[in-house]
Amino acid sequence: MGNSELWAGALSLLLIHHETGCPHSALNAARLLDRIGEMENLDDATRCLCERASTRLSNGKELSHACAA
Amino acid sequence: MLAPLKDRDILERDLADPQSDLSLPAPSGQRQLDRMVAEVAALRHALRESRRVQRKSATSATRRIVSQINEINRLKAQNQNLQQKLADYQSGQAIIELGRRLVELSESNHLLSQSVQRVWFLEKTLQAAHSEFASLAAERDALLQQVQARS
Repeated sequence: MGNSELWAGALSLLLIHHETGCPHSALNAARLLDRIGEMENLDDATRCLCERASTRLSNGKELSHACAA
Repeated sequence: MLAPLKDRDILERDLADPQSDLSLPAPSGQRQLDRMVAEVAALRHALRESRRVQRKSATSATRRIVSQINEINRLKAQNQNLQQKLADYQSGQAIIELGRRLVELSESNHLLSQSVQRVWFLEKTLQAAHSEFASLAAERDALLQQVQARS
């Protein structure tokens, strides 16, 4: 799977998770973000960003929208 | 202004000897000459007018050409931008950038939500402290009144 396909998948799952709160989407998005983070042609800042997002999604710590909090 | 002639000899020959090429009968010679002079003057005037119109037309055409060159340059730049965008979409760069932006914003949202919760908690704590303060102040005032009543 190419770079852009992984990002497209992660983007889609994240949007579903944000829209519906679906935990499966969050876990699958986390997996895809892990795979993106493992790619060689990725800058360090984006890699760290993906790792943090993956950790949040895996632990179910991704909160709802701040405006609704 | 008249344009330069290729063969200047024609004019010079006319000025030097205007009658050289003419073989007119003597009685009507002067009249014929006047008529030809008038004709030449009219032709010169027509030529001048024609050149003025041509100059005006050339200026207008030049202006249009400059305007069209500018338009072509603008369209070229626009085309280049669109081709770049198209290349970004084809290479998936746009979706990558969009995904990265979403992850960034999710993180910002997460941090903001945490801050909102912390603010909410601090607000509640402050309200509780304020209530406690009011209660203690009332108790103190009551005790003070009791002391003053005894003394």
